[in-house]
Amino acid sequence: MNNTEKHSSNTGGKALLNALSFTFFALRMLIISLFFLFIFGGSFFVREYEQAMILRFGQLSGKKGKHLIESGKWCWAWPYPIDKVVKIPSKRSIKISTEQFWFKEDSNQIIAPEDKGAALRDSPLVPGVGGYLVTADANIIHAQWSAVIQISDPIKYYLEAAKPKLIIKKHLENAVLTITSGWDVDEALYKNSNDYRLAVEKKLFKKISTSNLGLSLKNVYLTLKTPPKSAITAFRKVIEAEQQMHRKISEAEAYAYRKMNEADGEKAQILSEARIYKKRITSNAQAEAEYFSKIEEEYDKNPETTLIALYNDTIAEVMDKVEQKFIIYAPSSDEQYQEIRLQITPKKNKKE
Amino acid sequence: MSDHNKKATIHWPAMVMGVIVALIFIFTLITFQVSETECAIVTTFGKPKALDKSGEVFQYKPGLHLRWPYPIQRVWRHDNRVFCFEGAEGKWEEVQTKDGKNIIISIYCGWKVSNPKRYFERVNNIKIAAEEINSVLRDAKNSVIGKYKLSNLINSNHSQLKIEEVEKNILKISQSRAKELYGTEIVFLGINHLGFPETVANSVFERMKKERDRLAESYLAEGDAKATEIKAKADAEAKMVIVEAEAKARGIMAEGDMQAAKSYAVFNSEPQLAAFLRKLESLKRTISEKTTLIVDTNTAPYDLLSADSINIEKKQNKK
Repeated sequence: MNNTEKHSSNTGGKALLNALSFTFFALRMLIISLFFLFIFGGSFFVREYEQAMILRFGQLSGKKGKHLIESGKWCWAWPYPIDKVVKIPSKRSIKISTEQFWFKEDSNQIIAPEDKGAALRDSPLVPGVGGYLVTADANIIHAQWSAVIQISDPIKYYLEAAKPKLIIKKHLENAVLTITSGWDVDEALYKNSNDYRLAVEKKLFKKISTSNLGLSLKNVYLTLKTPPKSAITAFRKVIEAEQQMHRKISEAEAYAYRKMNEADGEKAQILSEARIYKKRITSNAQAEAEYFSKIEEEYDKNPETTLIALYNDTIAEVMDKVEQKFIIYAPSSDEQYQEIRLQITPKKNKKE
Repeated sequence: MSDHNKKATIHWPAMVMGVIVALIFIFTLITFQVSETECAIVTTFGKPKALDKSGEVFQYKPGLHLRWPYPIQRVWRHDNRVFCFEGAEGKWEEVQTKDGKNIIISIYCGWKVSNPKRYFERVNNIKIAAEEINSVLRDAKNSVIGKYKLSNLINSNHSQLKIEEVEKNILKISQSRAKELYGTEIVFLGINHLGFPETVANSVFERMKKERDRLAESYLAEGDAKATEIKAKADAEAKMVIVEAEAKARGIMAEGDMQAAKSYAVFNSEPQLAAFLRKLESLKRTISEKTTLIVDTNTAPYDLLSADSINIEKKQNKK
């Protein structure tokens, strides 16, 4: 081996050594990084709406029987499979809806607006395809219901049921069906739909309470309700007829109110007139009596003169007011009979 | 430091890594975890580990447990929580009630493993378990529904409604069978669909329409009747009010007349004078501006217009 070959061999070995050194260095760094990742990768934050629990080797961990980690905290857990962190959104409301009792709507079916009503009316109600409820009076209605629940006990919520939301959904359907079977169609759809909803809520509340799933019911909503598509027109007719009935009754009540007011007014007028009459008649009588008493004093003193004076004053007063006066000569009994002819409204007759 | 020791020092991370991996491997081979949500049984060469002679299988509590590595021992786990499924999902079938009405009823239930050994032996699969429980439920449902009338399932008289009783009876029958056959416990059960066959549903629609038409007509008739009744009542009451008012008015007027008559008593002292004064008063009241009055010269004071009036003066003078 000459010098040139030796030199090139040493250079190759050094390069290999350097490459290996670099690889081992990188490996060392990787192990250290993995170590830090292992240590710090287990940290987690429990959000404001959550509570968390740690299962260590599958078992609930916690000090002094306190297994829940409250919200807003940074925590640390060993990586899986040692620890498993379960976060439960316990402070958030969960809405569970069911369309079990709603008719099937074909979103792919394109129907002209004018044909839509007929198409809906003619579509049959196939069991298992279109959902509905049967009311106490053996009628059919469609409804969409939803319930709002909240997790009251996160541990029970996680441990008791594999799919708690599905259970609540089925309980909701059961509560709706059970209550509807005791309600008439008109009551459920129109007249007492809020009471109907409250009855379902009460039933569901009882079911959830006895289920022990760590859930509490907040509200139940009857989001949509309708009679069957084929009977909608008939139902609307009933609503219109009912409204018409109420309108007629309210019109009659308005008439009665007006009539009574008129009668009250007339009554007041009659009584008022009677009181005026009473007042007038008594006042006149009193005045006349007083007048008579005074005249009588004069009459007793000088009867004839008093009478003549009164008579003449009266005639003068009366004749002064009269517009047309005719004074005719009164013949004596032995004179010939005289005739006078009067036309009471001569001007009018002339115009005509 | 020798070269050997130096190399060992340089490669310690790799060695530590290897040891850790080996330890983890051995650890996973000889241990198993049981979660809080699970139940587990261990079989040794395929045979479940029995706790006592009665054959009750040992149930491992949640946590870490030791075992012999596979294939000596094998761990079977099952979710120990309640599962929910709908019995008639996609399988709608008609059931006949006691009064011969065909209806469609769907039942849902919640179930869990109560006997892990039996469950492990008979089904050991959630899907298969659900199918088997569904069969149990179907049989129980058919036998129970046949004992009740349709009016026990839908009725506005709540004392007649027996849905909860039906559910309890189905639960009672299916609970014991599911436990005995598959080692499962049915925790709860309920009806979540009650319907009619397609043909019946269509006839229900027709009936509903006729009922609605009848109801609409009855509302209209009721509206007319009530409106007429209200109006007639109002008319009568108004008349009554007026009649009463008129009666009362007559009383008031009579009272006035009576009081006036008392005042007129003074006229008795000079009845002729009173009559004369009344006549004068009547004259004043009855004759107005538009009156056309024809009087002759016999009427005073127009008798002055006659020739005899002078004679009166003379007579007076003679007197």
